Amino acid sequence: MEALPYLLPALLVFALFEYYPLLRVIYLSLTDADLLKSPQWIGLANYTRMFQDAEFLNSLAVTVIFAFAVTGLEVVLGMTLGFLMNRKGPFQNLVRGAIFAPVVVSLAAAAVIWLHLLNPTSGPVNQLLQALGLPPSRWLQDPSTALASVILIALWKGVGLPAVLYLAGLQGIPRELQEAAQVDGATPYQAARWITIPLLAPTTLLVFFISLVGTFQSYGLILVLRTDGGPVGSTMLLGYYIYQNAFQYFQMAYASAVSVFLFLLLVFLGWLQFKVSERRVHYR
Amino acid sequence: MGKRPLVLGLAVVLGFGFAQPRTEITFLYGLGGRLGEIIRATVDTFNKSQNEVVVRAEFANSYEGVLQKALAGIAAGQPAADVLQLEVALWPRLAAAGQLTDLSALPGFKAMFDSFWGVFKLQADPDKDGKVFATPWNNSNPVTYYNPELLKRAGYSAPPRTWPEMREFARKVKEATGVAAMALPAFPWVLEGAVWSNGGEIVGKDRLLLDQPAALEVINTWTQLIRDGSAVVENANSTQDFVAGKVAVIFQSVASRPGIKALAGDRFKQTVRVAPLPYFKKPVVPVGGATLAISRGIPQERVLAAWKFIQWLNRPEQQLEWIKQTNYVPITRTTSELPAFRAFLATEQGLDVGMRQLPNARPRPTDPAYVQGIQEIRKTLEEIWLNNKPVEPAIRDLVQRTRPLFAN
Repeated sequence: MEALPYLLPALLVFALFEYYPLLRVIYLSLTDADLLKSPQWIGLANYTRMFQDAEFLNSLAVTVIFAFAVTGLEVVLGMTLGFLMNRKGPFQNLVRGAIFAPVVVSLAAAAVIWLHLLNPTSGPVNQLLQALGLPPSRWLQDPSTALASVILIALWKGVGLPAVLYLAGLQGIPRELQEAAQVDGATPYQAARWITIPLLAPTTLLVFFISLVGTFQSYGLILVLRTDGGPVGSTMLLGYYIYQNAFQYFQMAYASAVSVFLFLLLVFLGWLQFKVSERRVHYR
Repeated sequence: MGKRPLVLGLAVVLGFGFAQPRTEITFLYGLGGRLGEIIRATVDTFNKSQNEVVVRAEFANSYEGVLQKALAGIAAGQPAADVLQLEVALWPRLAAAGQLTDLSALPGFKAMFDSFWGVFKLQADPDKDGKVFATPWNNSNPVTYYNPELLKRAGYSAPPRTWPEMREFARKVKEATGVAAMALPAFPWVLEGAVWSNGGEIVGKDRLLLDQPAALEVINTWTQLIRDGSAVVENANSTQDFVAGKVAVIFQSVASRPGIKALAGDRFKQTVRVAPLPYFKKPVVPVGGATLAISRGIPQERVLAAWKFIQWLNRPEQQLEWIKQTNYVPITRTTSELPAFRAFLATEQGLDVGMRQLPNARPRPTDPAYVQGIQEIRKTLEEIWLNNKPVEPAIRDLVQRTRPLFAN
């Protein structure tokens, strides 16, 4: 009770800017709100509609593929790049800067770069493919490759942060453990497999959670790449689907219902992840 | 010597004392980049041109951004801004909900309304009930941009005027140049014009009408062009591709011209020409863009200040300045008849095409459901063109699944 007065300012800010909007979204999801008229209570109709809506189900599938692909690749590549950044060498700072640079590039600038690189008719990527005797691709304009292209761009833009987190994790591993392994005759692979990677488990958990939550909420990338969720709904991430329904179609209540669903999904995934990690992650 | 400073000082004090304070209003706009710079400069010019009103321009990132802020303001019970730049498809819903001021009762409205081109009168008052909630401002229609060097190789000096002739034209251009003859947009702006020009309609009383013969003929013609490889589906890179000579014809807004010009640089005059939009039976073009509206529920003093700003933007000489920089079409006949405007049109080939199309122009559909309908049409056309879905079942499915939208 003594701590309450000290916590009160922070709690008030949280209540006002976090919990109230959350409760308001839950309320709106149970109405027919469009922000233009007084909302009428309609119970679970928006939720019923959601699970019958082919657009929503497609968007959910696209988002799950996008989130797990980007997260999985960020863990694997982030760790690999973390190892690379941790190696001493004449170009260490350059390597670290190059790996982290895309993180600080604005999303709009990243979109311009990638729209040029992946231009089907005059982009350098297709020119390279053709020079190697490979067929060109339509990348963002082909329903079969658009999502993979968006995953690639998200990975390029985001992998620097996990790499830095892994670098910090690597630098926190006591040197004597590596040295003891070397004395015992462990190969670099064995040292990594049995000592370094297990000791990086807390970092992996952090990277996995941050990336998963971030990717499930993504929408800015779709906005700046101007795919509008297409072609044929192939890049319709849930975040963009919510935005489109709320601010293009005036369907605030339905968008709120999808937001609540996304929130519950992330709570469930977070819970699941911590349950799994209880058994597998060991903090020194 | 003794009295002069005293008199001057008194005059200054009295001057300040009696000067009316300027009414400050906010203007929320959604165009960025070069157009955003022009809007800010225009607002500065207005602020310097008089002493009664100060406009504070606020950028909302996009037309959706304007709507987003407007909705948030409505929910909060406090309008997001006094003047809103609203895309033509977005204002009817806000007006129907009673969130916009009826401009028809404001001083000088009739004179301004009467000066509009017919298409803009219809756009501003689609129900013809005399109530007007948004006036045209930055409006445009689509035109045909073509590369004369590529066309010349196929024996053409300009693209044909009708869609049926376009088939042979596209085949010949593709054969002669090896590049796509044209990029066709899945976003249905150009499609609207083509369907109307074929005697069809896009939206009926309670559903889309794309399953009707006139519309199906258009979609089949376009699909054939794409499937035989002489046309491609327009994408985010199409303008760059056109400028780079990778596609011979694109169909874009008259207001895209400054952007195309900037991309083409020195080669603009040699590689870019403008022609009217092709048609089927009679020329018809859709008019899109954005309008200006005044929020409802603001003090009358700010309504009048906002109205003064809108009237100033609609003055012929101000319209001319705006058009010179943006290439939008004139919204009033008075502007179109200015000798300075005629002189401006004569400075470059094709500058007049947008205006010449105005007598054949129709406002884009304003049914609130059409905002979502557009995305559904786009998705269906992509399914047909990129996933090779058969035309008629795909269109039937489109009409069927969008019925609840229009029925509501």
